[in-house]
Amino acid sequence: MILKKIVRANGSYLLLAPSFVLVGVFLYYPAFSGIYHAFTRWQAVGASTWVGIDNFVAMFSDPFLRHGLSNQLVLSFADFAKALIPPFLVAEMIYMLSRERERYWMRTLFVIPMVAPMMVIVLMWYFIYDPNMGLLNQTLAGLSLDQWRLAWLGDPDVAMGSIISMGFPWISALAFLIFLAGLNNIPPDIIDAARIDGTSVLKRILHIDIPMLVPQFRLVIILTLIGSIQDFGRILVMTGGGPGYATYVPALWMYEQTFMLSHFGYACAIGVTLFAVILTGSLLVLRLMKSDLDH
Amino acid sequence: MKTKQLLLVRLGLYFLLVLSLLPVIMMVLLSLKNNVEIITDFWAWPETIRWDNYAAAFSSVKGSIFNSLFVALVSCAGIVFLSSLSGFVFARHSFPGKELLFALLIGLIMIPQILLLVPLFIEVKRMGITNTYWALIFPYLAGGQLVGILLCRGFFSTIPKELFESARIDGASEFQVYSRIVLPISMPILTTVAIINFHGIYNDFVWPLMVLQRQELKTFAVAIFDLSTVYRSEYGLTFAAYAIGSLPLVIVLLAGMKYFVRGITEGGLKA
Repeated sequence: MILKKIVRANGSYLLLAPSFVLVGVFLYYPAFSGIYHAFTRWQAVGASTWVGIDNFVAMFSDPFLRHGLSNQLVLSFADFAKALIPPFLVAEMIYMLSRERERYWMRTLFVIPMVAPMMVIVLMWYFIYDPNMGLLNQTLAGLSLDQWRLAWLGDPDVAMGSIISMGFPWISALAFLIFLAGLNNIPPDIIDAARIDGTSVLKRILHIDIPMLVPQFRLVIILTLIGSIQDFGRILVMTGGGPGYATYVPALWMYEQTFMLSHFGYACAIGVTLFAVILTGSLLVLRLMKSDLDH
Repeated sequence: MKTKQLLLVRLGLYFLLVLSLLPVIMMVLLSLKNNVEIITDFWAWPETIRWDNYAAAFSSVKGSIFNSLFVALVSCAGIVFLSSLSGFVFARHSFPGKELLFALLIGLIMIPQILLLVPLFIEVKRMGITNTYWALIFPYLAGGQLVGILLCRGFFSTIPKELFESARIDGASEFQVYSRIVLPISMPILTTVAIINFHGIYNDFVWPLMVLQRQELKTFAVAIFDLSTVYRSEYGLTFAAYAIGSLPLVIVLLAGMKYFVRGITEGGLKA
């Protein structure tokens, strides 16, 4: 019976084959390979050998990871603040505009910075921080504030702050669009009722908008968690992790373990750990931020 | 809302907008200057506009822009094809194990790149496809189709059955149903999938940096990183190169802004 159905459905399986072959070879295989090899010594030459949890034990005494972890905590905390507060405020400001057309144009204008390639924006910030030619030090010199001029990326006490400040005023188009779409979905009668009751804007935001936008906040938090942990490209470009340990993050160290040292097994162990952190964090957020709107 | 309050909100929005665009404004301004003009008066408009920066920059980045465009366009075409095909099968066919297979695909959306980076790099190396475009295209196809399949399945399920049945009664083959009916009516959703992926692929940096070492294959994001860290002496020229490399994304996103915005707001929440 089932067999007959399977035979009859041959065509369906055949049509799905391209998707599944790609997923099998380029997603499932590396995912399992990564998890397996996290428990092996695996280097550029020779086969991998099983070493149990040695790699994970070694991570505890790795100074790069110790510094990387505390840097990551600071960076992630800042990333959450940047992804949640400015985009939400801008979405609220646009939501206040009364005319539909004006809202539409404002929304489009705030998406425009996204048309510049990410790498170009990162390199522009690299230039803004340039000690001699950069916008920051040039402008400070122009204002005769020479004592404020700093080696923004070269000074270990300042470098992390400089990386966090990148992208000021941090209106991520992604988060902002998600929030604005959420606001636009609030049933108009709720807003009207609040207006008739004479509710102030601040009260409306606190008691209506934020509770109604729980699914949007949840999505932005999860996307930020993932991005914050795995996007080490910006740090690779800006400081390469330096000076010293000042801006190292675990993902960057994983990359260097692979490329500079060919410690593939150890790199996989770092990757698996970061994956576990992301997964646990995401599930926790989904658990804690249940909303009445979910069904 | 009082008009005075509204005016403040508007002023605030324009102020934030200018701040957000500052790097882009600076890029265009400095791309028209030479080093001396940048040092002596950073913010001034250049006395003679140096268009030759653009000519020189174009010859140094045109190869890498072509590489990025080629990889992005081939990948997007493949992603659109796979998303619509598999989305169609999941929405319209019934076969044993359908929901399990669907879950096996869509569950992968939860797997972050960081887990795959190292093992995929080794795998691609052993397959001998590093330093070929395939090292980019295959993983982009595998990952990019997932959200596409999810969106397409959702969309195709909303189309009334009668549309397909009447076509079949008219003697259309399964492939004709797919190419003559499914593809045309799903253009908006497929455009959305294509634009979101184009944006992601054009911006990708770490993966191309890992798998392409040969100069003539490098994508724009990697080549521009080399250009500005290794040969940074002529700033005006470097900024002109940034501006030229931004053009493909500017054109695609401005032309498809509606789809891009929809992709972010809908794709994100569904996934």
